[in-house]
Amino acid sequence: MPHLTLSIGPGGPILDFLCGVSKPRAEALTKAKVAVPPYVAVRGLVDTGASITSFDSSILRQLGVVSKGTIQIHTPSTDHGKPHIANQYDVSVILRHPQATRIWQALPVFESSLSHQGIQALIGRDILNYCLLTYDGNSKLFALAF
Amino acid sequence: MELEIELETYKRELPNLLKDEGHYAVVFGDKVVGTYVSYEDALAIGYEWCGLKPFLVKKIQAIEQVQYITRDLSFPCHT
Repeated sequence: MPHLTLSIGPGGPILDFLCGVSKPRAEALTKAKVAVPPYVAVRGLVDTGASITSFDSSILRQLGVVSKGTIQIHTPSTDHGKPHIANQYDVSVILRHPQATRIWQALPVFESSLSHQGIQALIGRDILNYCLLTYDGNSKLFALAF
Repeated sequence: MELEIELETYKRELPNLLKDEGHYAVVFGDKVVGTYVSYEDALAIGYEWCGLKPFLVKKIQAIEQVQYITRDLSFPCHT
């Protein structure tokens, strides 16, 4: 299983990866003779506390994707059991490795504002469920196998 | 609100859709296009049926699953 070993910086376990439109959307764009937006480089925080992956609005804007629905989300600031409602989008995600590349062709993600935190995505458990994550705090390293 | 008609249609049709709970419904305007086992299959049919026009893909659930994020986030408002 290929794995990436990276440093844990002040912002936590951060991973650079690629995000694009979903495969079905790319096919629809091609059929409509509309250019498929190129993949966008994204800086994401590996976040085991996120049940689903999220992208900053700027990334979704670059890809020109449109909402495919809404999801309900609880955060520490949601009170009295009333969740936030966030827009959901379809994207593809690529984790790169010199020996093997892992692609999610159609992943439902939600939109949030993250860029002020120095990241553009939260890599949630919907992706991590297909990976092996090792967090070595003493060495300030983390490894992600996929 | 984006997909307002589609969300209303899904809500109205949910009792009928629950026989396929756990699958994904594709909704276009006031019509349920169909239900599909995977999100990718639902998307593919949605784009085939609707092209680049807006459509809804919704996991069929009697009680909608709430997602959890352990940090505070702000959510852009498009209304």
